[in-house]
Amino acid sequence: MYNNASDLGPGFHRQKQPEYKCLISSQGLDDIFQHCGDFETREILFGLEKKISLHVCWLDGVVSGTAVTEEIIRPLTQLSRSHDAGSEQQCLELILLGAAYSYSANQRDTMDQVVDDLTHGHCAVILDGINRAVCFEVRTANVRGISEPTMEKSLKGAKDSFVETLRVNTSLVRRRICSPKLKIVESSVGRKSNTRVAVLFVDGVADPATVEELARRLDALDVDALLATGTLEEYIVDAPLSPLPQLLHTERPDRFAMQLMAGHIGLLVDGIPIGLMLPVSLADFMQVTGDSSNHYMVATFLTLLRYLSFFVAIFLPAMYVAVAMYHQEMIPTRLLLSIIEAKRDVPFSTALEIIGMIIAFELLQEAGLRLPNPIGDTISIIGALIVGQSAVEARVVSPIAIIVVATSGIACYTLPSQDLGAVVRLLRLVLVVAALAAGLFGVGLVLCLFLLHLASLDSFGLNYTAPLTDGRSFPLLRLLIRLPKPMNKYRDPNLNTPDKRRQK
Amino acid sequence: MKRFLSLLIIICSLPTFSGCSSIYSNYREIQQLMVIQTMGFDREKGAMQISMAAAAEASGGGPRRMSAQGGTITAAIDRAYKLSYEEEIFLSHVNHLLVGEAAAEEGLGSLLDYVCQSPTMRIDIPLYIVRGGTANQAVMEVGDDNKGISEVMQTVRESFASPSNSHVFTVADTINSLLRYGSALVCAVECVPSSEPIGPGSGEGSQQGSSQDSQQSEGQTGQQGGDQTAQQSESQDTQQGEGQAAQETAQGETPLMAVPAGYAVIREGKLCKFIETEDAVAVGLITDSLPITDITVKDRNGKDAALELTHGSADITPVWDGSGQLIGLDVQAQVKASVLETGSWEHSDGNEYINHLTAQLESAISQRLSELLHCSMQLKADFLGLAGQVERKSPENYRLMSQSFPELLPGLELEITVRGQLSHTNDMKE
Repeated sequence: MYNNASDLGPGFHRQKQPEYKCLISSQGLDDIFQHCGDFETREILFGLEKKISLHVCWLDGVVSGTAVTEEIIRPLTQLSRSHDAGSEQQCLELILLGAAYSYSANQRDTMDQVVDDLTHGHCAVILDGINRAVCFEVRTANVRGISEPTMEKSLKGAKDSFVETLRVNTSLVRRRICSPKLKIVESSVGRKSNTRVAVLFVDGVADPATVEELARRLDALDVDALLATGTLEEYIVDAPLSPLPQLLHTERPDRFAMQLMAGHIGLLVDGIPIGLMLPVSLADFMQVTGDSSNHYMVATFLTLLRYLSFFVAIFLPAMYVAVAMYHQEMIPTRLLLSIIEAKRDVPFSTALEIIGMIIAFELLQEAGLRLPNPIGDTISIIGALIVGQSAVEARVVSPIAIIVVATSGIACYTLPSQDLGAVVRLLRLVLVVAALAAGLFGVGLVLCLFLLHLASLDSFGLNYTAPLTDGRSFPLLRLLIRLPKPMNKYRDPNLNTPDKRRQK
Repeated sequence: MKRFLSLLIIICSLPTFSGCSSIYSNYREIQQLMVIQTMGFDREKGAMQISMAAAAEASGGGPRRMSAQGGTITAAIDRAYKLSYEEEIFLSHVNHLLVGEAAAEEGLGSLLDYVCQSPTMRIDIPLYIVRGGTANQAVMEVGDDNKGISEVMQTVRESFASPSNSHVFTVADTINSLLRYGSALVCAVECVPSSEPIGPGSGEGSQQGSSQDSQQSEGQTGQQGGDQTAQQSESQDTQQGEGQAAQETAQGETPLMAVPAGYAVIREGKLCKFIETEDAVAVGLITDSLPITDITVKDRNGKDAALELTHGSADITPVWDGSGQLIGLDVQAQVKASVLETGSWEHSDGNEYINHLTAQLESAISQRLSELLHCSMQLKADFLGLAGQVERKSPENYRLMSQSFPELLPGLELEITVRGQLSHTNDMKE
């Protein structure tokens, strides 16, 4: 049983090691990095004396050239710092004791470690005589700066967001949880990409069993490259075939930290400006960071509105198709007459109209996403105003169909999670087809199947429908109503947090 | 495997969810529906004649009407289905059911039975008897090119309806009352000529004139019944034949209007009597659903004064003799009213004046209650649901009654007490 972060070791991805079985040597590195144009190596003399020859290796562009020059090569070649080192072993000890200026100096005994360091922005000093190396962290500072979140905007929240550099991202979280209880356990994933993955959790708050299970799944992950969140997500979630999102994505460090403090576990991947949270339930996808900043009444109202939007986005088109094609008696008379009047002279059936409009809506959305912003806005205007209005005037579609699909689309956009929104859009189309086939019975049937799937879904031991289905009233109340902070004393019991209370 | 089997069972059960027919057969396009809002039922030479009117189209197409005949209601409706080849007749949104007077006299049984058993029609549809005419005439001729019977009946319904909407008796109310008390009340309408052209384009002068005419006709509904019957019978002669749609209101003719015409008493499923519009106050008091309505009394100078009834209720207490037999009903009514219009220029804040009007109000209400209850007693028809009130007051005695309540009705003694209160006079001179 896992009890402490140190139990996991410095890197718990233990597969395929050693990948390079040769001893550490400059020649060996040359062979490994053969045909790598950015691999640079330079032979220097320790203290400019001819006794000891060192090889300094780095990957150009990944490291800072100035840092290599000023912090490593310059001090190592100064005679005054060599202290008459008689052997390479003494030289190694001197380097580790401060002969080089770099803040980070690690002795490496295997070629795998050296290669890993080099690819992650280190500079390696090779001592061929004793087959050892010292690696210095001299990453280049040429990374994208921290900017405002683009997808999860908040009026009162923090204005920073994750970037593509893992270390920057961990620092953003660390600044919010200034405690050694915040554990950051890193490993490399990907045979070829060697992508750094960091598991973040608050010791004593996160469920140790869940951390251990995550470590086990990461350990079992054996892929060539980890370049997208989807690669990681589909390998570590409980039900990769399910369309429902099982990891919560956030670009906000403040939300990430809040979730950590709530008992969730975070994942950060080098090169991906998104943080992943687990375990999650459906309710987690309906919450936004702004809820914590808003007054509890406003936050409660907005939460209820989001749930309403969720149901409107899913059911409105299907209900319209079912009622308009099978259950006309359910429509109030005046509304029925209005719909008939609007539908008169439209040659297509109601279902075809709705399906066509949904597809057109998706096309417009995709077109808007793929194009640069100014052109994307133009596409939206052309789609919404010109094509939509012309279609209505030409009696190709009825205004009511446009209203239904647009309302559903707008409701879909109010969902905080784009992943959940994508599932809603998919489910909406399935429900429309079911409504076309069998009216409300078809909708009910698909809904039953969906609920069956929801009920059978787990995320790292947490039921996906929690707290709706665990029979506890208080978490259910807390799901819909954002209690004032002084009253919200306990963490979600479904997360099995060792520390149950969040305040006195 | 279990999950797969569960899914298989659910998918296989899909066709059973769609009822007796296959899953595609009950699909229909919404724009192909002819939404019937008003239906009329008549009996003609032993055959059932139905008349149907859809709502007027917003595009100005006017209301669509049609009629058909058949041996039964089902046969007549089937005939109508065949005649409407372009659109599918849709009966789930019927809001008004009209029955001709002659058909109602023959009996409402088949109609009520059809509505009860129809899979498409609701039982909370208001039911009306067309007083002195046929339902066909009302459906086919009321209104003009812009507005049809459905729009007119909506106005009629609102004028019948109290704030609680309980004055419009539905099919369900009628069936319930017939089953419980053996008789029922149904709203009555009559078709009267209106000189007011309905819809846009009418001049201001003609509107004023028609308004006066309309008021006159409303005020004299009871007296004009005979003349209207004659007019209606003439209209019936010009009626379209079976299955023929009629777009009425020829130029130069006065379009017909449907107006409230009191209530019809249904006993044992058949029409037996009409109750005049003025007695609606008494009906409202007994059924505890008094509408806000006006009543005219005489002031101290013998001139008419209009009072507006705002609240009222009646409490009926059964009177039992020593042997447990029901011997009478003690009716105690309370009404509140305000003065709308006085007949003479006089300050209306004097106690003497108020007391006089209050006494007049009490007298008028008492008279109407008396007339209504005596009507019920004479007909041996408990259409007001008095038995229910007696049962609620004295359930044990009611259970031990040797005769049925309608049998006892003619011999009951009535004690009517009305307490009136004029809450305010609306007199700005005060």
